[in-house]
Amino acid sequence: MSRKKTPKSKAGSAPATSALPAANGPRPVRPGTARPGPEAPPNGPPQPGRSSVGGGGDFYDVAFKVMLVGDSGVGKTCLLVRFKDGAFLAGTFISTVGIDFRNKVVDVDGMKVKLQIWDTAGQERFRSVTHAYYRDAHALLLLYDVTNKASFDSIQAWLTEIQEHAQDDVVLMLLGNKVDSAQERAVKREDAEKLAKDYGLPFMETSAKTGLNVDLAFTAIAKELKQRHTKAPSEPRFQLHDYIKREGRGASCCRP
Amino acid sequence: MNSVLTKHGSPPHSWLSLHSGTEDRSLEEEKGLRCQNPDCMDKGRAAKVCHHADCQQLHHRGPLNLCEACDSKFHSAMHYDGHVRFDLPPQGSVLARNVSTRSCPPRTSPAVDLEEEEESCMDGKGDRKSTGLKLSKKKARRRHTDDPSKECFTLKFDLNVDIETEIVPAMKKKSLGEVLLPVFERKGIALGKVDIYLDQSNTPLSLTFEAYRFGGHYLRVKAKPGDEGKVEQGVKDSKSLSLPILRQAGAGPPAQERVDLQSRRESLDILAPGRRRKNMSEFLGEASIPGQEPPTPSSCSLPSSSSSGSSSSSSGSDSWKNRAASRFSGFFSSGPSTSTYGREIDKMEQLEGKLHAYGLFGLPRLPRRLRFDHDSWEEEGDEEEDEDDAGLRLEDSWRELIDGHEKLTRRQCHQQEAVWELLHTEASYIKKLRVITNLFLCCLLNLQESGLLCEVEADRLFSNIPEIARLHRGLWGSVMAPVLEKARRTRALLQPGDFLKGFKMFGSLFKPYVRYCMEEEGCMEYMRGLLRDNDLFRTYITWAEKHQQCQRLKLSDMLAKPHQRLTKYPLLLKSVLRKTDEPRAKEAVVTMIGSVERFIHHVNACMRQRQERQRLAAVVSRIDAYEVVEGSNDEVDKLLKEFLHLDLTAPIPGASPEETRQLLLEGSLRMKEGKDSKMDVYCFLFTDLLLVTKPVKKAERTKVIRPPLLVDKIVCRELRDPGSFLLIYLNEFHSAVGAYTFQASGQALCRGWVDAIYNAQNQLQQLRVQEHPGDQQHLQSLEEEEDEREEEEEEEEGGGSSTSAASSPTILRKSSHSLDSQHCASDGSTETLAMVVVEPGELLSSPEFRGDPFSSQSDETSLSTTASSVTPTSELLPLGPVDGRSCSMDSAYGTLSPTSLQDFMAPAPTVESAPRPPELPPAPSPPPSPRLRRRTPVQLLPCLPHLLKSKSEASILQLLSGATTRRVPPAPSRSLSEVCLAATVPGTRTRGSCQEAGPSWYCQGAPGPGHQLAELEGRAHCPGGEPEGPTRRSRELSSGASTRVQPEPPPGISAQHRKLTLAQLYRIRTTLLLNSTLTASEV
Repeated sequence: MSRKKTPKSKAGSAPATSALPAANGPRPVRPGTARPGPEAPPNGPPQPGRSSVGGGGDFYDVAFKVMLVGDSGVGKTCLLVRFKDGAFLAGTFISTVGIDFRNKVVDVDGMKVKLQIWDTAGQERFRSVTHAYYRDAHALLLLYDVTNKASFDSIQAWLTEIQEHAQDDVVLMLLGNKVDSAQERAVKREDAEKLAKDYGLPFMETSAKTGLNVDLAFTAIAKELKQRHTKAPSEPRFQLHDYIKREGRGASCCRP
Repeated sequence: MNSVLTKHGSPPHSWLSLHSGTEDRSLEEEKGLRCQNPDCMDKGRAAKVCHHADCQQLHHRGPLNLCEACDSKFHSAMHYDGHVRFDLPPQGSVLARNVSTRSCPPRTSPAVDLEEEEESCMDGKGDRKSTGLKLSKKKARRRHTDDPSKECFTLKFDLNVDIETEIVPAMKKKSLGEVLLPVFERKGIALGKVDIYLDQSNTPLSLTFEAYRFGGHYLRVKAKPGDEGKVEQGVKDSKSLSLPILRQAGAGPPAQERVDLQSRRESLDILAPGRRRKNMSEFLGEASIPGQEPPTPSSCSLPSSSSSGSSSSSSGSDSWKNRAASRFSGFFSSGPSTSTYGREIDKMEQLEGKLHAYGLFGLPRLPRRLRFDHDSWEEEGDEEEDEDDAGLRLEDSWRELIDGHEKLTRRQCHQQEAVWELLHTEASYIKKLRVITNLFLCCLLNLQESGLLCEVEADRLFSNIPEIARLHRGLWGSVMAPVLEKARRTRALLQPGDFLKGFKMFGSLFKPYVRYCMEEEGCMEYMRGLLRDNDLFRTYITWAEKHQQCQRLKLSDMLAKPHQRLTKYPLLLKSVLRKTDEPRAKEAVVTMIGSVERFIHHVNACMRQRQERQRLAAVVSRIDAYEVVEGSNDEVDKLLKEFLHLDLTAPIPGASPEETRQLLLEGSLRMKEGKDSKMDVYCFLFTDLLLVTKPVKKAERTKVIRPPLLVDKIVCRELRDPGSFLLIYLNEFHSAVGAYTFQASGQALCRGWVDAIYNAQNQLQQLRVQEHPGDQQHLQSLEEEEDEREEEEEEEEGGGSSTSAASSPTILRKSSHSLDSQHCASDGSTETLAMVVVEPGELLSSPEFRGDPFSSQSDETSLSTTASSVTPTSELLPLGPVDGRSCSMDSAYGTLSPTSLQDFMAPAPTVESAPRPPELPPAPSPPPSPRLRRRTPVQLLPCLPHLLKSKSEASILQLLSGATTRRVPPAPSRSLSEVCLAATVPGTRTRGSCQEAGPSWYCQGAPGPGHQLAELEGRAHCPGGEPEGPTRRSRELSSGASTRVQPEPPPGISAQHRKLTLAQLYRIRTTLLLNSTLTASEV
C-alpha cells in the first residue's frame, strides 16, 4: 500500500462558507454549513434616534442591537441586569424572567450610542425556533460560565450557529462569566484565551455578581459598533482586542 | 386594478360621443331618442348608443342610437368585435329633466371649472347626458376641451395643512406664475416658498411656463424644503379668514375677491344649487362608483377633491370622526376609482397624507370589508376592545390584590411575584401583539383599501399574527382573567394551580405558533426586502415605528415577539415552580411546564426538519450526475438510462419518513480500488450512505462514480499506513462485495472519517430503532443482556462526562460541535437541577435533560455509548427499506406497546418530548446523562429498552410458543402484554432499573410529537410502572399531564396492526437468527 504524501491541507479554523468539492481535505460539516444565501441583506443601518418621538430624554445618535447568547444558566440575564441597573440578582426579589431586552445609552467619545440588549434566556434549547432573529443583531456577546465546563464546550457550537445565522459582520465577543466563584472554576482562563485566539474573538472574564468587566465589555462593544458605523471602511478599524487588553487586563486578572 | 383599465378604456368613446354628435344635436333633441338604424322599421325608443366607427357609418358618422332590437341585431352579428355600447337612460329620468333646463347663462369668464364645462356639454346635447354622466368622473380627471379658453388644470396642495384641490384656468399666453398668484394669495401661500410639480414628476416647474400647456394636468404644490413651517402657518392664518367667506359663497360674493374668483363665484351662484343636487343624484344614482364622496360644504369642492382617496384631504377642517369616516371609506374606497386616482397622484404624497391623517385623527380600524372576511378576529376585537383593555389592566403589583401581604412569608412573596410576572408579562405581550395587529397590520390594510402599498402581502409580512393575538386573548379571557378576578374578589393569594386548565391544553391552544414560527424567518426576510426596495413601505414602517406604543421597537423586534414569548413560558413557569411548596400546586405547575415544553419541542422539531430538508436539497444540488454504470453500447445505454439516478431526498430506508438524510462529512480523499491506481475522489457521508463522487470540471458539482455505499453495510477499519482506512462493503449476506482504500490527507482527517462512519452507523441504527423499536430492542436484549444494561445505567447516572469514554466516535463530536450535547449537560447544572434537589419526592425530569430536538447529527455521537457497543449489530440488520416506514413492526409485540402506538399515532419520531409527569418517583441521583437523550432515539435507549426488553422478552416467549396468531384481537393483545409484564416482573434487572430511574419518566421520554404524546402517556406508562400501582399512576398521569388520554387504542389501529403481524414476525425471526450468527463473526 504505497502512498504518496498528499499535501497537508489546511483545516481552516473558521469554517469555510462554501462547501465545494475543490476544498482540500474532508471537513466536518454541520448539515448545510453553507450560508443560506449570499444575497442576505446586510442589517439595516442603525437608526439615528434623535427623533421627535423619543421622549424621556434618552436621546441617542445611533442604536444597535446586541444579543446575549450562550447556554442556559451562564448568567445572561444577570449580566444584562448588572449592566443596566448595576445590581446583582442574587436571591433577588424581583423576577427577571420576563425581561426581553434592555436599552442603555452609552457615551462613546461624545457620541450617544444606544445599545438595545436582548436577552435570549429560555431560547437556548429551541434554536431552530430562535435563530431567525440572530440576523438582526449587530453584536453578539457569547457567554459561558467559568464554573461549568460544558457551557464552555458548547461555545464552538454556538459559534457555528452564529456563523450560520448571524450577519457576516456581526461584532462578537466571548465572555467567561462568574469569575467570582474562584473555587468552582472549571474552565481555565488560558483555555478560553486560546479558543478566543483561534477564532479571533475578543475575550474577557466577567462577573455579573461583582460587576467585574461588565461595563467594560459593553463599552467595548459600543465603541466597536460606533466605530464601524461612523468610520469609512478604509479607515483603520477600531482595535477591539487592543482596547480590551488595555482596559481589561488589570481588572480581569484580579482574581486567580 | 382591472377596473382601472376599464375606466381608462372608455374615454375614446366618450370623446366621440361628446364631440362628434354636435351637428345633429338639435334633431335628436326634438326627436327624442329614437332608433337611428335606417333599416329599423318601427323606430322605437333607443336603448343604446354606439360610437364605433363602423356603426357610425350608418348615421352620418355620428353616434348611433339603437333600439333594443337593432342593437342586438347589430351587435350580436358575426363580425361584431365586442366594442362598447352605452346605455341610454330611460325616459323621464331625473337627469333627463335636468337636461332640459337650459337656463345657464353664456360663459363669459375664462374661469370655467370642470363641472361648468361638463354641464355645458350636457346642456348642449342633453340626449347624451347619460354618457356624459357615466363618464363624468373620467372627465373630471381630464379637463380638456376643444375650447382653449376653457382649459383648466387641477392644483393639489401637498402641505401638512388640508387645502382643497383647486381648479385653475390654464390660460393661453399667461405664465404659470400669473395664473397661480391669485389662487395662492387667496390661500395665503407665498409663491416663492413652494414648488410646483407636474403630475408625478419630481422636478419643480418654472413659474414662467405658459399656463395653457398644463391644461388637463395635475399640478402639485409642495412647500420648498425648509419652508414647510412658514407655508403651513400662512395657510392656516388665511384659512381662518377665508373659510367663513367661502362658506358664504352662496349668499353673495365678497367684495374683496379677485376677479377670477369673483367670476367663479358668480357662476357658482347660479349653478350651485342645481348642480349640487345633480351631483348628489349622480352620486346616489351611481353608488357603484366607489370612492366618490358626497360633496363637502365648501364651495369649491369639485368631484376632483375626492381624488385623494378617501377622506383624508378634503374635509380635514370638519370635525372629522375618524372611525366613522374610515368606515365609510372602507365601504367605498375599495373600488376601482380610488385605484385609478392612486395611479395619477403621487403615491408617496398620498401615503404621507393618509399617515398624517391617521396621526391626527387616530388609527383607522380594520376595513369593514376585511372584517367580514375575517369572521371573528377583528370583529370581536372591535366590540371587545375597550372591555379588553380594561381586562388587561393590571394593578401595579400583586400586593394590591391581596390582603395582608405584609404577613406573607418571604417565600410566599416570591411565589406571588412569580405568578404575577406570568400574568403581567402576558398582558403586556397581548398589548404588543395588538400593536402589530392594530397599528402595523390594520393601517396597512387600510392603506391598501385606498390603493396604497397594495404590493405588500400582509400575510407574508405578518403571517398569522392575528390568529396568535386571538389565541392569547382567549387564553387571557379564559384563564388569566379569572385568576385575577378570583384574587380580586377573595383578596387571597394567586394560585398557580389555577392556570392548569389553560396550560394543559397548550398544545392545541397554541397551534398557530407552529405556523408562525415556521414562517417567521420568511416574514423577516420579506420585511427586510421591502424595507430595502420599497420607499413607500419604508415610509410607512418608519411612521408606524415612531408610535409610542411601539416603545421604540422596530417591526423586526415585534415580529420576534411571538417566539420569544413562547420560549418564555417554561422559564416563567419554572420560576413559579421553584417558589411553590404546596404539592398539588407543584404538580399542576409541573404538568403545565411539561405541556408547554412538549409543544415548544414540537415546534422546534418541525423547524429543524424543514431546515434539514433544505440543507439536504442544497447538497443534492451539488451532486450532479449518477455515472456509476457504463453501458457497452447504445442499446444498453438506452435501457440503462432510466435507472441512472439517485434520489438523495428519498426517505432513509428503514427509518421514519420524517427523518431527513443529513450530510455528516464531506471532503477529498484518494481512493484505491483493487489494484488500480489511486484516484482523487470527493466523498459525501450521509446518515445512511457514503457517496464516492468526482468533481466535474468547470462546474462546482460532482458526479457519482461508485454505487452508493450503505453505511450499515460498511465495515470500516483504519489501516497501518497512517492516514488511510479501508472500507469493506458487504451485501445482504454479509459477504464482501467491494473493498476501497481511502487515503486522507492527514491522520486526523482519516480518523475523522472513520469516526464519522461509525457515527453514521450508530445514528442510522438509532433512527431505525426509533422507527421499529421492537426489533432492535429485541435483538439487543437477546444479545447483550445485562451487561449492556448495566452500562446503560451507569451512563444514565454518571452524567455526560462518562459518555465519551464508552463511545468511540468522539472526534466528530468535537469537530462538529454539537451545541446540544454540551448544552444539555450544562443545563443540568443550572436551575433545573436545583429544583430536582429541592424536591426529594419528585424527580423533575427537567426537559433539559431530555435533550434537544435541534440536535445535529453530532448529537448522536453521544448516543454511541450504548450504541457503539451495538455497532456491529447495526451492520447486520437485514431490516431493509422494504420493512417500510410504518410502526407496524411494533404490533408484532402486542398492540399495547407504547412506542408503537406513539409512532403510529404521531408519525414524527424525531420530535422530542419532554413531558413532565405530575408525580415522579424519587430519584436517587440527579438527572441522567443529558447526552444520552439528546434525541428521541437517544431517549429510547435508556428508557424504552427496559420497557421494550421486557416486552420483547415476552414476545420472544410468544414467538417461541407459536403465539403469533393469538395476538390478533385488541383485547387479547392487552392481556398478552400483561402476560409479558408478568413474565418480566420476577426480578428482572430491567424492571429494577426502570424503577430506579422512574418508570413514568422514561415512558414519557419516549418520542412523540408535542401534545399528541399526551394522549399516549397514560398508556405508555402502564407497562413500565406496573409494580407500584401502575394504574393509579397512569390515571394520574392521564388526568394531569394529558387532557386527551384514550384508555384504549382506537380499533382501527389495532386492526391495522393485526394485518401486519404475521409477516413481520417471520421477518423478525429471520433477523434474529441472522443477527446472532453474524454478530459473532463480526465482533
